[in-house]
Amino acid sequence: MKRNSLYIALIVMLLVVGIGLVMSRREAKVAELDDLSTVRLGGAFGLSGVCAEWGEGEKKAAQMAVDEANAAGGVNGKKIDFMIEDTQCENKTTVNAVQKLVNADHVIAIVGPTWGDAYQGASPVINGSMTPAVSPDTAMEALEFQKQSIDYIFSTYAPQRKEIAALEAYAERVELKKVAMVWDQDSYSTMMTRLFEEASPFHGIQIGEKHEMPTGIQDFRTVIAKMKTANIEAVFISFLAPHTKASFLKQAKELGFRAIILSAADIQDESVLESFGSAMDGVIYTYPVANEEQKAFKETYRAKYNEDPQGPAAVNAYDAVRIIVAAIGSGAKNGQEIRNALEKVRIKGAFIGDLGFDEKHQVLGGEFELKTVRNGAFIPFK
Amino acid sequence: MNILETKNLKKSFGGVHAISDLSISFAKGKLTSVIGPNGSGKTTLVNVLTGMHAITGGAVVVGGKSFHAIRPESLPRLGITRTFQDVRLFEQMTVADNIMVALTARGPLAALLERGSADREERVKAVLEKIGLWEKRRELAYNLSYGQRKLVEIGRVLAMDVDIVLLDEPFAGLFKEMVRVIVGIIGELKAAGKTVLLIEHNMELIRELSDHVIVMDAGGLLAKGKPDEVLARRDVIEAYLGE
Amino acid sequence: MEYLIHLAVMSSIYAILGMSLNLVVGYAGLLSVTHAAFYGVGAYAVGILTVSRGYGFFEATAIGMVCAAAAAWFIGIVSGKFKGDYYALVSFGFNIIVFSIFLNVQSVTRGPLGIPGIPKPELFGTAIRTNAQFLILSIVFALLTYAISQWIVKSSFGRALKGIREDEDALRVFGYDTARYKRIIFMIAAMLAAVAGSLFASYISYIDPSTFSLNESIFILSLVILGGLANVNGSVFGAIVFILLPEILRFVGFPPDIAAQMRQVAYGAILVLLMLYRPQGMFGEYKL
Repeated sequence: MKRNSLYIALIVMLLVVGIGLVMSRREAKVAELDDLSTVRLGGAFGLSGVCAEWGEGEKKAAQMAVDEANAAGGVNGKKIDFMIEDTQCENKTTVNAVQKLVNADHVIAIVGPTWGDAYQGASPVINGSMTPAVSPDTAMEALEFQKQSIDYIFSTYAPQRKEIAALEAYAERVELKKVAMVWDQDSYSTMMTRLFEEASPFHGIQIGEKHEMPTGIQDFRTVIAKMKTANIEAVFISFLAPHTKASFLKQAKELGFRAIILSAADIQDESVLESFGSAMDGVIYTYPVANEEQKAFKETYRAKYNEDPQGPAAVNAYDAVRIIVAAIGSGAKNGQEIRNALEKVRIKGAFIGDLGFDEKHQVLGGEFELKTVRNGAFIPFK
Repeated sequence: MNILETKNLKKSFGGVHAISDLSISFAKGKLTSVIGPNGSGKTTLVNVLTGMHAITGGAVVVGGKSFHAIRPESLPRLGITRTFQDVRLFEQMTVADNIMVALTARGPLAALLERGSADREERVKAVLEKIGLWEKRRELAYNLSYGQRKLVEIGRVLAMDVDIVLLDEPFAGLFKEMVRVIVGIIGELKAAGKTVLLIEHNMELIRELSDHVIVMDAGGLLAKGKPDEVLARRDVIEAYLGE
Repeated sequence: MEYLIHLAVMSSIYAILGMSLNLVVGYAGLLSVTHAAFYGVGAYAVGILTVSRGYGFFEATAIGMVCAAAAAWFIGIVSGKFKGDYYALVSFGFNIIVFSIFLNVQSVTRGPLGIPGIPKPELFGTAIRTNAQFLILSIVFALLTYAISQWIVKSSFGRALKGIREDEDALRVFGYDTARYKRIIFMIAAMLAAVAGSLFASYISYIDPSTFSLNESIFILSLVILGGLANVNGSVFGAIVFILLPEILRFVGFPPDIAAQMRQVAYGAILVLLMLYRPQGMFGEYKL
């Protein structure tokens, strides 16, 4: 008796899935945007799990852009239907989320997925289904290194090579001959340090000590003490979580480690600044040259959500939505046309003033300047 | 003829000498009771004989061959089986399965290929009927009453069908009727020529069943011989009263 | 439809993982929390051999199975000295070691970057191209695993496993070399997990170490417990529930700003309720 009721429960569950699919997406997949009354846009963010620090802000910023577009009448007169899924920052769950967006929700484009190591599983689904995906926080160098197709994949995040060029140019300018590296075993950090090392000879920089740490480690005191005794004059750090970077900086201060600390743009996370404040003072990092749009974004976000943008890539998510909207607005009707449009369109971005994509589907142009933290605030570094 | 002996057997647990210099023997085809006050080393003896405790010193001789170490897995080959004082059945397995493990192939690869057989089913049935638990064959062992569990232990031993049977307090905590059932089964074991080692406290049962009696005290041999002689001895009575 | 096919493939992969782990945990009573390690060995065997060494899927899978069996043999020898909770802790340790190998031997595994571009299997000269075709392959493997599990469970070997679970020392007295039994079932389970890993690698076409962490072992153990220990059907059921439940929750209309978190809460709450209702698991006849 019990056995039968369990089988029934299973069948009921399967029916629920089927019904759910039917009810929520009554329209079958359509090839052309014209046949729909709304524009279905997908959002695949890491809302739980290791990258949630990034995902929440990205989701909110993207939602803000969608709301702005809808308030202004939508795209070509149609409202945007924003469907958000949680990738949980993992390979298989990212694939599940993207599968749902592409094959159940039939979205015309996706903001996301996020994280190089998680979304590489989703890219075959994205490319295979010809659904353009603009990621707010992927540095595409990893895909390039892995020789993966970027056909339908774009990123509004800072290209790693540009950041490194700016950092190493500074190092060269102030004649930092030797730079140590500390990073964690995340794919982004792995790529970052690899590229840093690759570019170093061209700037007369020698790589000193290298410390690879397990992801999630928060205590760097041993490594810092070691580097202090070795009289390291400069160190480049790269970790998955912004607050990990902040912890490093704090511990460096506590131990009196006076080396110059270099970082990439992802350290500029307002919410981390709130917690760590002037403990982060002194770090030198790259960021796109300040523009009015960046400020406006921050203020609009604060007004809407009563908090500072969370995570380093909120502004990039905002731009991702806006550039997709611009591509559709230019008349693109299906995935392929939207992709082609994305390759040509330029908008006034918040992350970078003149935002467009190069042939590697990374942000075009954009000057990167040096910034630092002083008295607990992110300011340009002279 | 002695089918099972110990020669200067010692068993220590750290500083505690549970068995010291014990040399005893068990005659083939006879039932020998091992008695003694609590803590005298009776169950330890059975555990050592069945390889569940390592031998600290001396040897165990089975069928003329001397062993300084016994692996439990080798017991069927040595012709030895046992029951447990604290009734160790396979709780979440059926009564039938508890008996069946005594009959199936021991080698893992042979066991992988072995399915049910009518012959083994028959033998399990025979055993279960003998102990009166055929109706309970599909019951999980942990659902049985205490007496029924002790019967299953005996059933396992019957199914093993080897020459040397070690029974550790098979009557403990049983009602009179149950006791008679088990007495009957032990009688059959004797009739079949098995060698039985029986740990027991009840003097009447000892007198009824035993061919020989061995008395242990504080890990050593206190007395041995025919039941009536041994049980009348002063030192034996004192050993029991002294506790 | 594509989406359902995707979920069906994932369910069949996890059914294989669940059924194989159940042999070790449910039948032999060994609280193994390292199954993801063997899952990973199979996945990386296919990932490494098919992408850069030109091996075919089936050959790579066979090699993965052998590697997993070897690892299981070794792990089994060490952990066999421990019982109960200590066994679980030792198995934790092995998962961490194997995960570390995936993460750090970067020259072979590419470390955190992972291995993308893993090709689909080729059968008699034709490559599997659609997910529907892959589903057929994964279901075939799941059915094979089911058949193997049922065979083992219903044989004398299966009965002996249960005896080991219930009282290993007592079973030894009746002539069973329980250490060998444990090693053998551990190796069989590892090989089946490696097959699941091969399927995963080839289907998703991308693997990285994070998929094969301790968390994944716990996930597989949870679905085995929920489905019911010592019941092969239970593991299939558990796999389906664990894959479908989070997906079904995607369709439940939580308010968007807390939807992701609410889904996690709901998922957890449902699991807790299911375990309260039936602590031995849905199909379980045995309590841990």
